[in-house]
Amino acid sequence: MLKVLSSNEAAAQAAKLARINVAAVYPITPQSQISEDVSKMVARGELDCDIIEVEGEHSVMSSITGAAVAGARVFTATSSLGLAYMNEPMMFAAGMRVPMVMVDVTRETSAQRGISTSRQDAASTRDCGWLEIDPADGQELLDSILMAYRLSEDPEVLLPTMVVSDGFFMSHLYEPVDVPEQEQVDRFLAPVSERRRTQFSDGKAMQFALSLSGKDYIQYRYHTLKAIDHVKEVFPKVEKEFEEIFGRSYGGLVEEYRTEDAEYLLMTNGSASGMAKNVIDAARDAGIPIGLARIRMFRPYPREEVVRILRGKKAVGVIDRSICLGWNCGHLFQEARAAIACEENMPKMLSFIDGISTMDITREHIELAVGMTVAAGNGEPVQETNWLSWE
Amino acid sequence: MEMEQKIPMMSPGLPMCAGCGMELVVRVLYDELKNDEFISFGGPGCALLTTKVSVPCYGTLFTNMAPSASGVSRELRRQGKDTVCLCIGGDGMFSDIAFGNLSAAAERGEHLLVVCYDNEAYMNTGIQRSSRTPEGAWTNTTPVGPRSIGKKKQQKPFSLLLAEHNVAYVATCSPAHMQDFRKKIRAARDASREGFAFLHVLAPCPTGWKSKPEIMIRQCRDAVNTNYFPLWESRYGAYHITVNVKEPKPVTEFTKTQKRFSHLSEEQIRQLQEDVDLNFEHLKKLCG
Amino acid sequence: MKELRMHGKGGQGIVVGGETLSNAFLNAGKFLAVMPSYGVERRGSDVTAFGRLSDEPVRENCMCYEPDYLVIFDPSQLKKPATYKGFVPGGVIVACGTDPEEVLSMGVKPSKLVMVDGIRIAYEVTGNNLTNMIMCGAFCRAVPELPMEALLKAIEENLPKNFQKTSILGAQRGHDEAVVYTYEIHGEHSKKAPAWTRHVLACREPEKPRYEAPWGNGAEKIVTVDTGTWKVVRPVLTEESCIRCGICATYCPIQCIRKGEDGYFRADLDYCKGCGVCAYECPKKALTMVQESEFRKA
Repeated sequence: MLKVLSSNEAAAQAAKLARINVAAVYPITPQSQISEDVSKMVARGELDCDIIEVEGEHSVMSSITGAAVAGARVFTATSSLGLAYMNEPMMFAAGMRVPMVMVDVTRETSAQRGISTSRQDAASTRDCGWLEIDPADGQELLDSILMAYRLSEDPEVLLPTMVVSDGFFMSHLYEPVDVPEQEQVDRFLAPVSERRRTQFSDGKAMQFALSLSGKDYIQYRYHTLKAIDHVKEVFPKVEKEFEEIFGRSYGGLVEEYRTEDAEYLLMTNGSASGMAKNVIDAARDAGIPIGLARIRMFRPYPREEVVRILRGKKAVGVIDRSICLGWNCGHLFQEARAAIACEENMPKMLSFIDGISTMDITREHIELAVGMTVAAGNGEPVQETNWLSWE
Repeated sequence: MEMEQKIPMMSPGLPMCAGCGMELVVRVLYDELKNDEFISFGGPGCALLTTKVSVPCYGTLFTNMAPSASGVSRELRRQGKDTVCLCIGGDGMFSDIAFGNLSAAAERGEHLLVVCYDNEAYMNTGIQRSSRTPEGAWTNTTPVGPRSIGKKKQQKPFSLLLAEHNVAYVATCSPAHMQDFRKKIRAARDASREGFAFLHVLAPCPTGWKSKPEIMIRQCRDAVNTNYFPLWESRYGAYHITVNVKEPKPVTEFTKTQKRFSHLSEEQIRQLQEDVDLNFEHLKKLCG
Repeated sequence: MKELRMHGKGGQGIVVGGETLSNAFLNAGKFLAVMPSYGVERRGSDVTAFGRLSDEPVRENCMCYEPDYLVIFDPSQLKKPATYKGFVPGGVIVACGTDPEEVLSMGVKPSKLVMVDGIRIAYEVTGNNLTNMIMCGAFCRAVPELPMEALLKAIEENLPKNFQKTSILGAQRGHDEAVVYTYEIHGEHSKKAPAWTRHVLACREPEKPRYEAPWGNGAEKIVTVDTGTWKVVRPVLTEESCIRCGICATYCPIQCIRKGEDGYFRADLDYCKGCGVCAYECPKKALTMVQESEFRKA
């Protein structure tokens, strides 16, 4: 049923539909509405869930890790410096293979109190061992949260999963969202008790989080890495099943838009992708053979997909909402470039930094990116990294 | 004929120094809880017991034992179980780095049995100052030299601070007063089934206190008999002293057996005595 | 380049001993880089440290797996196979003990074995089991490249003032009272071939763990440390004085004192660490702490 919802409200609806057992809440702009909504659902009796009202994000992550280890399906949401504050228990949760889903509503993290958007917060956790899904709008956010639980609780995966929602441009944007029926969701996502994983109740003296060293430690580290990698196989299957029940799908690890005969590409993730599609349509009308590759899953990084899509193109312009400080480029750019290194027949690559703080990723900026990408593809001396907001 | 080997609840050989106060504390704790279903939470520190005990364990970070245990406790209670969640940590953990989230768990009234073994410094990392290190005491980060005379500030009264949250149960314990200690463990266990319970146990560390291991119990006794570490309990903010010391000895009875105090000047001792007296007066007022 | 490995117990000053040797070699114009093994150190628990000796600054920073020199700071380490692991035949062993057979029976082939009754000297000099300077002195005796003056200078310049007198006395006695045994070793010791000759094109994968996360089951196995070997003194009961009150059992930190069928309380010496709390708390002074060496002789 279509309902007008913000992405924050859609995220709370998804948590309810997933029948979460325990949630931890702590406010931070622009995420607070998710925490409030989940609390209100419990207060109204719509959701049977225990809410832990903790005193900070560090305890948010710690307490839901505890609840998940004891067998619960858990949920939380955070943002920006809140995500940074929980970095320590986040690494623990991933290292200990604890399934959980968290929504990160993106926000700038630097010292100048930028409370507006940027994906710097999420990007800074990329090597924590979490899975990261990047939806582009409220509908996809809701759907991705449901898929995230399937991934996270898969016995071959068992990893915490972060679903990233762009602050303000998604979190505070109201639009019609198709909220699925509970009965449909129950068919897609079984109760957590039916998901087999090691628990305290498995034996008289089950002990969680042993201290390991040497080869024992390496063994777990290696198999955690394998589990992350395995997600690249599981995710398309989960999405296919999702499509069968709900009739929606988003194109797997990387969504391709008009790439089949394209000579040039833009690459984006998150909320900037809609505008990028429109600009690409206009450019196509103007005779420019350009398409869009939207990275839907950042961890694990779909390197094989990226190589396949980029091969044979003349130039690719990557639009980032975050900065690799020390590199002067964006994170999507850096990863895509690493993916195509040593591959043959690869395009020229450009990095565009935009949409940081209150600066918008506007139609004009994306048009500018198209122009520069085409110029680079034609051999013109285009600067590699460009901060669009200053142009 | 081969006997079936029964695995003991706790290993007879734990890697703690000879004369470790904490080892006695954890052994007595486990003994008192042997008939209860409980999960033992441990963190980085000398008292991490996973793989050394045959009870369910959960290893946490140094910073997050109380919230981790809150999550486990909530989920177990949601499943209808009343498993005791036993959190064991030192003063570095509970009075310093994780004091904030311990206070928050107390405020939320989480069903936890938190036991802090207080050896008055970070011992596992090699004797560094904590907020529980007494005034004047030497540690490796409050050294003694021409421009330093040990720790400059008083101890954080953190068991009082927790009791002021009006939680189900808070008590101070000394292993020298074994019956009192054991009674308080049982009281705290029962209280943790209705809310937050906290035990603050003095646990001498011969290595860090620079004292002889054999006087460990004597030090616990001296700490009580000098009112340096008075024994009291509080149920929902109603305090009462459990061991009354008729004629308190001077605090030097406690300090003189420890080399970490050997440099104290008369002025420092006078100051320490004054603080002990003031703190005890304050406690007596709370007891009404 | 020579490799050195040191074995002893926590609290015997092995790290300081290594540092002192390093300073001593510096005084003698050589470079010794030392480091302890990384891990949890407790008073009484096993401790290992590593060193590399060279005429040039040492560039290698890893642990030592094939030591040319072994320094054993405590008799408790003599019977442990781990102590001798990888020892190069023809190397030098400096050991705290009196009977060379204790070392040779472990299957090692040193060209030189230096034995010194370090524990006895330590008790005579410092009143405890701090053998580090004694073993440093014995090491000087074993290794001619390190003159005793270099060691004494290192002690004077680097150790705290209040330890100097006993340290110098200990080092001197260790040097003087050490007994040197030499052996003829036949055949060349061949070091391992370089790993690149193995022509490995892909490393093996780590095995799959039993549980997805580091879970374990305490009902199957628990780790027990042989803390009984830590002790340097042990409680001995005088039954005539004992009133069987059990106060010793109440306060034993490791709770290893139990009531026997005869009603007397006795410590389980397999685990007793010799802290002495029981003897100190005994109201009738029925328990006495006696040196372990007394029992080793018997």
